Amino acid sequence: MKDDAQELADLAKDLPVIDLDTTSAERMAHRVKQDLGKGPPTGRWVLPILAAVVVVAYLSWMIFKIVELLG
Amino acid sequence: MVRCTCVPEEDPKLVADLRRGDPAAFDTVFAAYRRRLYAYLVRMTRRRDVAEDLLQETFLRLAQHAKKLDADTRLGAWLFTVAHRLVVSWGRAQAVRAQLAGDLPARETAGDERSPLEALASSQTQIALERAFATLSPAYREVALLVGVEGMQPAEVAIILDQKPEAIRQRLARARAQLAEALGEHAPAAWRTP
Repeated sequence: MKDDAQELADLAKDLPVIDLDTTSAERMAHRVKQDLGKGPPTGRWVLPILAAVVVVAYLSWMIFKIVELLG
Repeated sequence: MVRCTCVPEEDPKLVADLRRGDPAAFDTVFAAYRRRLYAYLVRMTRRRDVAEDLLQETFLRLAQHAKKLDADTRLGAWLFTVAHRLVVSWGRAQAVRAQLAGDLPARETAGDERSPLEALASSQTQIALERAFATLSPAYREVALLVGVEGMQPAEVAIILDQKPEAIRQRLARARAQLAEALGEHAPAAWRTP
């Protein structure tokens, strides 16, 4: 008695082969290799840092105003 | 025995070479996993252009994180985990887009029109099979692809999808049942209920 995994594997053998065309694959490999070992782009931290700065500034201003009103 | 190509024996050496930033190691990994990841992404997104973008992003993440890979990293599982997360993010973005464009009429396809994926099929069985996989919900299709096509063990798929192994086995059984129903006369004889 075959299990589900084996039966699916047998069935999947008949699926058509899907592959990227050679030109696109070479272009992709060339593009990606330029980033090899460089680490994640630092630019991705810019927006979160900017958002954090704005939020902290707004909260500080709000607290200052509340203290000013109460005082 | 289910074939398992997910953890080639040379992975530890490849990982070590990748950590050193060796371009030849990247070429080897790219050649070994490109077709498998692309096929998975095409069948999950049903779009070749999106699959190509997600494939590039998957390998970009590998290139960018190469130095930080653990020595015992299993590259196949690592790459499919990244690809799975990209598919999930893309799916969420698609859902939001679909909601925003809710008033626009959907593009209907004629009953006998073949999708680009089905155009690759060379026989009625292949067309039926491709259509049957397409009818599965993404969660079931993903498990069916990873186990059936990629030959991964349910325990490994559970790690990739961040699910319990039992949940994967249940999805697998349901995927098989839905495939049998969708395939109809094209289903293997053993699948057909008397």
